[in-house]
Amino acid sequence: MLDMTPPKISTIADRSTGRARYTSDLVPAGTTLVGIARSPHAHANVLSIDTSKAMALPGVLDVLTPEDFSGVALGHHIADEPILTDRVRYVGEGVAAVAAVDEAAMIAGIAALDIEYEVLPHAIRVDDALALDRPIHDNFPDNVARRFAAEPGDWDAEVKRVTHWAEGTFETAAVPHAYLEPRACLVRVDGNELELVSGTHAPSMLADQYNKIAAVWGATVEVTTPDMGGSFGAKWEHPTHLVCLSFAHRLQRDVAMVLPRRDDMIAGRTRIAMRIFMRIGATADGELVAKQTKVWADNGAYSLHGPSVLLAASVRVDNLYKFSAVKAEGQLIYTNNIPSECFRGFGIPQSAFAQEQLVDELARKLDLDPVEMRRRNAVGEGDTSVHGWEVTSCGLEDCLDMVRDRIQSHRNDSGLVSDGRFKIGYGLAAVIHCVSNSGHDEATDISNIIISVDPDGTICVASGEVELGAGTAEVLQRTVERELDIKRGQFRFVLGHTSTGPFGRGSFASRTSFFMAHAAIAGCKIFSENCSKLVDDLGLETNASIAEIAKLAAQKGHAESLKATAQFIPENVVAADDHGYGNIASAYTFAVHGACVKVDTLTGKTMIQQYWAAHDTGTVVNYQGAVGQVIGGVIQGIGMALSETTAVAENGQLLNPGYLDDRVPTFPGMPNVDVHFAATFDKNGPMGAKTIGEPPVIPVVGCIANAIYDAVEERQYTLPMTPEQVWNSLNTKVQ
Amino acid sequence: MASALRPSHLPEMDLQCPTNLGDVFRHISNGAQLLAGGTDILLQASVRGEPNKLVWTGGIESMKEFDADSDFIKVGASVPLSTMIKSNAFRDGAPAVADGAQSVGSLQLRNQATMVGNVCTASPAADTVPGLLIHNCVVATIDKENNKREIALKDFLTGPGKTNLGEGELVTCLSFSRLGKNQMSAYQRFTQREALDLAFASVAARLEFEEDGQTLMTVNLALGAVGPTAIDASAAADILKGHPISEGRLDICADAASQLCSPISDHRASAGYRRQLIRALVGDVVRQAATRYGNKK
Ligand SMILES: Cc1cc2nc3c(=O)[nH]c(=O)nc-3n(C[C@H](O)[C@H](O)[C@H](O)COP(=O)(O)OP(=O)(O)OC[C@H]3O[C@@H](n4cnc5c(N)ncnc54)[C@H](O)[C@@H]3O)c2cc1C
Repeated sequence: MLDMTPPKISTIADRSTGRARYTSDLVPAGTTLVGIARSPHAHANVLSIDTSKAMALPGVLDVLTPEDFSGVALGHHIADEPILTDRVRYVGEGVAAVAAVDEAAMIAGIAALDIEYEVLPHAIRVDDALALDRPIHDNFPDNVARRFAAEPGDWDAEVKRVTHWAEGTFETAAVPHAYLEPRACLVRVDGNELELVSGTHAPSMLADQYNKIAAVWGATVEVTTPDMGGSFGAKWEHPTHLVCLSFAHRLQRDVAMVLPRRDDMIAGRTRIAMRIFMRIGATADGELVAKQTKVWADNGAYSLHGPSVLLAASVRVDNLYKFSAVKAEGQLIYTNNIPSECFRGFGIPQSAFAQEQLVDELARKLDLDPVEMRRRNAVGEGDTSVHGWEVTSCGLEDCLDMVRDRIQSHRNDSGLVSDGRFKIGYGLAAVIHCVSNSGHDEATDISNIIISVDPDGTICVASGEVELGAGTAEVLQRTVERELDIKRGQFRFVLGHTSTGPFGRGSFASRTSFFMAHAAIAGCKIFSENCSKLVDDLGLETNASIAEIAKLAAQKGHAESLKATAQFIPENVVAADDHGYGNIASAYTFAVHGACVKVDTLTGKTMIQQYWAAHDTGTVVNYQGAVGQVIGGVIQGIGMALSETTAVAENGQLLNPGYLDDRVPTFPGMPNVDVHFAATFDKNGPMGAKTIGEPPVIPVVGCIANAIYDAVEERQYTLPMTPEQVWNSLNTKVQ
Repeated sequence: MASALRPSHLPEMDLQCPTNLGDVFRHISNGAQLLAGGTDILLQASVRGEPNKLVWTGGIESMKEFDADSDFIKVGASVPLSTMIKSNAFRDGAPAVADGAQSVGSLQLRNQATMVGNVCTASPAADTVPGLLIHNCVVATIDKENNKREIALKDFLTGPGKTNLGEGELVTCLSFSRLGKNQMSAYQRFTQREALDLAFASVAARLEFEEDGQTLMTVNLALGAVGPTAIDASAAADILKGHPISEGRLDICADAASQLCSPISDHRASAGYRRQLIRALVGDVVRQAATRYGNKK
């Protein structure tokens, strides 16, 4: 029997003082190590793999090849990703795997594999992929993994009202997720019982999938997520998990794999790079009427969450403004790049980059203040948006006011003025976002809670969600403390532990606090009632505290009768139809960001002088956590805006697999971020709360682009807006 | 092509830490490579899987020498950059070199990295090299037969990743000249990120003024990251000599310097953009050195 003690949940203090224990900290010395043999080719058939020399090496215990996983594939929408592949689709893809007694033997084992490839023509750009005569996946002959189209409203009629258009074609980059903790997993085994210890958004969903696969081996899988050093959308089902599970089961040894940073990036995931054509039409008095969007999304080699990101990128930003007609289409295109994946913002920062610049451009054309332009056109409480979102609370006006006022005082007081070389500019951008996307997967968009009493009287609160390092545990703690009037120490949590916790959909989609807190409130209510019922039997006063009751109940053998289980399922939400129409969430959040930039016209370098972020999140439940999420999101957005990208050589090889050349921001050079929250309360939210999660990253790219335009009067169509790119934009004008 | 990419773990290492030069040479002849701070070579080893035999110079007493007070500042091969930066005599005596040392990596990195390591890696973008060039740096070497050489830095660096060190020869120290009377120097680099980034282009300048403190007598310029090695671009500065600093002359000098270099285009920056950066940096660095000189007077 495996020891199924749930992992300790660290606090923010634990994580900032080094006491948190990540997966790699849990790997005992001497554990069998797993390594992946990664293809040096971008596109190739694997003709043969000779494992004999590797197997003969001292210290090499086992080798797995594609045959060991034939018929098994991963994928949320399209099951297209093999565990080990006999058809390589990107440089760095796993072809075989080696388990060995130590790192040196593992590396030697990989080097001793003899793999014969038939190299195929490859494509690293979407245009090349669309023209490639050899498909990347045989069952997708045109290399289009998914198409999307929507056309709400009467396009032909509405377009007649348009007097002014703004349009452009925008390109965004394949930014790596840049979590601090590289991918790692540890598998513990006892007979047919397997425990996968690894950071992920969704332990329950992983366990579901892996159990189906492991059933063939006669094994069962539980998933444990210990402290996690970030993910931002990257850590879901992954081929390496199955490789490790398989080795552990075959060898009956615990095995581990901790990727070096470089390998983590080579075989990683990235934000989906997109080309977006967009045009927005307005009337002469500033009404936004019609909007057209075309998206070409670089899926990379495998689809993962790509199809739903494509949908989100094609239409979700439209919901912010009261467009009368929208025409959107998108294609998700296979290439021989690293598989791209959802990433905080779920495709929306990409389209917000385009939309918020075009709205800015229209405001200029119509001589309207950009704040006024947004105020006139944005949806508000009680509105149903063009794609069917029903807005139950909206603090956008407050956010607009806050940012406008701050920018005004900064203009007056900062003393910053443009001179010959350095230009000062101000910009802003707005965003709407949904709390989860319940419609997308109705059956499982739920959150469960189990509240029980340990033999020693400690109250145990088990949720199926997980702590990604974003403060989920703090939210749960506050909710339980408030609802049961108890203190930390009198209760413990279980999060991210499928063997002792309930099913949970997981922490992502800006859903966690909302769903988990709703379930926790319901669970606490039942638990309190159960406690009240027991007061007499236990011989306690009616005003006895929950903690006292639990303690005594445990001593007298009544713990079981206190146990409470509760579930939250959102009401009034529907699955979006094939065209993305429907009220997909219980609540919608808003934010407005503002930036002041200084651009060096000699070098093109943008220096952000000050940043403002005003968010409508409903009730703020965890203030420190929420501010942290906003600042973190802004800095992540600044990286996406100014410096982060994957550089890929013509042969498909990643040229910048590390943070030296993938320029994730460092604190020097980051602006002060002034954070505000609008005073809103959403009737559908737990305690009136909505969400913070993704929105902080979404408007940043558009906001900074607008500020750069304000400074130098050149639109920026490509991300990242590196110094060289901005300098080029200034100098094509001169020539 | 190999069957599979090598995992980027450090290889198993044979690390030797001798306390005398004789042992160092013995390990070198057994195939070991020199390890100073390790911030370049360990990264290299994790990517390539080699070297996996290293001999550390930090145990050799003579290599810990750091003399910032003489006319020639002398720094041994195992002195960390942060030790140097803490010295006022060094910062006052060779401001351009100190600027370069200060811009390397992060504090933790500078606590570990050495200047000799920076020079011997021979990266075209090495931050201490342009400053060292205009401070007339000489590289002192020794081999196992106890032959000693002193080589001007500009001759020592022969290409990207290449020096003219012979088989089994090692660097014992660097020496470079202190600023003389009426002189000032400065170094600046252009990076996208404020910390932990590599220069796309860099410029070091040393100015010498006439007694009036206004008229420039000599100007030395060195350019980094825009050629196979750092480039002496003093010829571009002729136009500045005999005159007080003026924007017009600076522009001509900056243009000339940008023509003297031979940058490459890569995933970091295009050649044309690197030239533009040189144009911007030359003006900035000369002005900064002049301002420093003004403040010192
Ligand atoms: C995160 C990071 C950031 C960095 N940022 C910068 C930066 O901003 N600017 C910059 O210029 N560099 C930077 N570097 C590169 C590196 O830190 C510097 O080049 C550093 O000065 C190297 O010194 P070291 O002592 O660590 O060298 P080591 O790695 O120990 O050695 C470097 C090379 O010199 C050889 N060597 C060492 N001692 C001797 C000797 N006595 N004689 C002959 N050969 C010898 C070694 O064999 C090796 O080939 C960075 C590196 C990292 C990892």
